[in-house]
Amino acid sequence: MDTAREFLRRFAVKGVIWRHSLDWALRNVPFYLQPILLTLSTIFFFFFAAPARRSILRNLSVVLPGSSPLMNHWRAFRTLMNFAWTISEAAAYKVNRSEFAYEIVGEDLLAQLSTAKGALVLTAHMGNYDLGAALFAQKFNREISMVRAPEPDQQSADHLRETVQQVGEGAVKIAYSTDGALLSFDLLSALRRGEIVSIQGDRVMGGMAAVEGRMFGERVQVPSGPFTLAQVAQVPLFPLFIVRAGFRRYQIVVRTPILVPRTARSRDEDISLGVAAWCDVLEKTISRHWDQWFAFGPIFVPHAER
Amino acid sequence: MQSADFSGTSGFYFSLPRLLAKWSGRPTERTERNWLEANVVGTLVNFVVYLFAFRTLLSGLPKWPQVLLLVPLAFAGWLFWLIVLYLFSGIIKLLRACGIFRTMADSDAQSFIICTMTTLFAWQLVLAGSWPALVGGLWMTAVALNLLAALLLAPRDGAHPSAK
Repeated sequence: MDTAREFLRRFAVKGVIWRHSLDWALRNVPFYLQPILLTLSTIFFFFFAAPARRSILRNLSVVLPGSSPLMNHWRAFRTLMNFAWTISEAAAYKVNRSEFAYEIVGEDLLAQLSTAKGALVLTAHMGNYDLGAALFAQKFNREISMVRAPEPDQQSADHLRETVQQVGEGAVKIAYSTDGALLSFDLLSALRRGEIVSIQGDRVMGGMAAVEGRMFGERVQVPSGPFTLAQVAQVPLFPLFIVRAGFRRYQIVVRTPILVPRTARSRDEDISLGVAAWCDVLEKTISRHWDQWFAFGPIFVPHAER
Repeated sequence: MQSADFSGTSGFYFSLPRLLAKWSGRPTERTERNWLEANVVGTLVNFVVYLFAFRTLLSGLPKWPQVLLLVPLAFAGWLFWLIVLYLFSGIIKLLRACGIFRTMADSDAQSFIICTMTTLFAWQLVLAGSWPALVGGLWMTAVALNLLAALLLAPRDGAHPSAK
């Protein structure tokens, strides 16, 4: 019974079978057949991946208030289409070492990050964040520790880890946000050694410490870990997003670093200022690239409470 | 990571646009990064296959069932590609065992078989007449011109093993 369940789990939306199929397809499908096959696959998943679609719709109702449900369904499709492209292009790079064009928005800030002696990269479930970390590690010849939310399926998690390590040629180390208190100490040590740690700061998964902020006029919970780490290690938080700009084209967007100082105020007040600055950057980025925000879960507090 | 200038020209994959680019003095770099090329060629391949499937499977049906089956036929086309690509990957393995396609990437070998298959379908559309014959004719003309362009570019691409 358990074996049968295990077998069937491979075919779930987040199962490993789709990731293996994607790798196979990227090896075998000529690039000119990919747009139409991806479009048809997205239509399939638009209906099959109902929880993800509903999450996007809920988020869109806050990000773009006043839109008709029909229009938001179309936007949800566009978001899933972009998701299909980003995971395909990351796989294309892994499998075929396909070429990509990219431009950097905030080049001086990226240069600051590349030479920083210990820094946190705060990113979101947006665009091609896996490819981005690998790109950064290679471009600047620096190791990067990436903290991610865990995959619900162990085989998918193993596949993802293998993908990121292959793409980053070993320069990207993955840790999971559910790894507990020990992870915090490891990350703190890494920062104090002058390393770069990348964390997704837009979604709280079960068991993660959270802090409340505001985006689009709604209460939102974001992980408190990055802000606490930045304050304890006294390192800057660099908001960084890898946004898809077209067919095999990306923009690396780096924003002004956020500092979480230790002042005479209470620790919570210092952290809440950092959180507010992050929420502001995130809100502006999502407003512009709402069709690349792959937050397939409740983000806004009223949604999570329902 | 191989990267390229964001604002620079993205080049082409097929010989015909590369030859046209060469004649107009633009770079003729061979790349798979051209959005327009991917969409135009992909749409044409799929359109030929779709029309061929329509003619083979639905042409004998009355008008209304034909209209109702237009969308399901597109998804049948999607499944068709998944199955065909899987079968072709087996054929490519077999051909490699016989010493053919050994130096070619999987997707290039698939591309060769897909274009051959699409050309056969296009030929059937041309023979059948009516307006789908125009689509079939368009595909066959594009293939012929592309082969001619490949011949003209051959001296330049000769040293490149993946020249197409």
